[in-house]
Amino acid sequence: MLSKADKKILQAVLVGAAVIIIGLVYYTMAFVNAEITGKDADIKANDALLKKHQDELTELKAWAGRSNEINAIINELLQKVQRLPRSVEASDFFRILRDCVHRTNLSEIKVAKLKSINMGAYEEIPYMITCRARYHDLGQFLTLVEQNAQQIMRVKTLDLFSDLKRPSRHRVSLQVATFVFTEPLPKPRGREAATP
Amino acid sequence: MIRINLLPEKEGARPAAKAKVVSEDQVSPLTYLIIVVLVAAIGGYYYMFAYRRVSAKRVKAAEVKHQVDVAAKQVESFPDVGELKKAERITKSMLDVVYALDSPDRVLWSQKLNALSDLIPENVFLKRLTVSETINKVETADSVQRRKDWEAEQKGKVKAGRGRRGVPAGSPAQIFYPQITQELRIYGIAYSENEAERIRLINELHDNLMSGVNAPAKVKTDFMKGFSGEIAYGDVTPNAIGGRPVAEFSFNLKTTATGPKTVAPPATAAAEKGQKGGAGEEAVPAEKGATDKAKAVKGAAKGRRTPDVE
Repeated sequence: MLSKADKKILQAVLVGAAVIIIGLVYYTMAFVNAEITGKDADIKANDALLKKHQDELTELKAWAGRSNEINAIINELLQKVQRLPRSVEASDFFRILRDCVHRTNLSEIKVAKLKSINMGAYEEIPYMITCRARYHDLGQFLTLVEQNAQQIMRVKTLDLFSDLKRPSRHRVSLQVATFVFTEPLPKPRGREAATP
Repeated sequence: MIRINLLPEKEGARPAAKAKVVSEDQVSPLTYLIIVVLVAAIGGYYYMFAYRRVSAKRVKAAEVKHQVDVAAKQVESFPDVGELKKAERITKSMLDVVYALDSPDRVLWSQKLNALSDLIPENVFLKRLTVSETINKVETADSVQRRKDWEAEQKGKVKAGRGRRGVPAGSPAQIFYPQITQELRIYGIAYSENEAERIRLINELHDNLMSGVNAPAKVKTDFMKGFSGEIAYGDVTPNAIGGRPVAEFSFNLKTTATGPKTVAPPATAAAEKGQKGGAGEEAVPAEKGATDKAKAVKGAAKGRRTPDVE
């Protein structure tokens, strides 16, 4: 059977083992679990960060893939802007307007440039035209203005009233305006600019 | 005599009790076995519940961190699309402006004048036509989004400690599109010796304009296209021109407001600028009053007494 030495050793070993087990349990509870909880939190945070980066990357790739589409939108704008003056001076606008006036049967014409109206990203450039015109001559003039292929123009105001002294030729005053962008226009970008 | 012991010396000499006695200092192999088992159990416990779990988590965390680093590097090395985003937003905003000012379905006054002349009944004459306009500045949806993106970017910089706290300067400029509403006022006279007939003529013009049809002249137009769908009556007053009794009247029509292709709910509808048209009179806002007058005119057409023109 067990000798006295055995008993002593086993007693000591069992006490030691009990202490070690208690220590281990404490270590597990206090440090291991805490570390695991910390690592779990790290993993969770990094997972979220990873998802964010992946989403960001997906979005970036999507934007890079839309380069051509955006260029098409920019080109559409540039095409429309071709029918607008390049500067606030708008000398072409005046020339085109004068042509419209002269191509129709208006008389006693006065054309005056009004003060430009700042609208933020663009400025409106109005002209005041006063004249005498027959009803259908005025209609013809308005057609030339509103459906002009060279220049975007619109009728802002119109005042047409009959003069009893000259019933067929009405007195007319109207404001015609075009506009010019004051913000710099975007430029189409090359494919390489957005392709990784 | 010689004595010979044939029994083995050890067997014979050992007493039976002595063979079973264990030394007090001797350690049994069983004790060693128990110690080994205990050590193994403690080691197993540590391995199973501490080392293995922790190391598994460490490996997982390192893996995820590595993936994050790789993804972050990919994002950083990707060409900047900020300019592309900005370009799209600005372009769309500018297109909104162009569309609002030059939309394909805007009211063309040349066509309206043409249609109007076709819809006027006999013995009704126009005295005056005025067109005035009101412009509201409305920020484009892309301009709003562009500013939001910029603000979010600034907040991100502050969080990362790379930016300054407080309201950041240098916010992108707002881009507004014009929401234009134009107003057409038609002043005219209706001539007849009979008062009820004058009122009927005014109503006939009203109905012709509403329907776009002048039945006697066999004319059909889309006069009301682009207008809000209502024609408000103005004052109807008796008068005499050249000794002939006439009824002076006016109608008021408003166009639908212009806007961008895709109308988003205006974020900052800054009705900053109410530009009234130059040459015409001030617009008459009294819709209710105008409707009442319309009722009065319609009533008069049915034979109700109205002030004599003469």
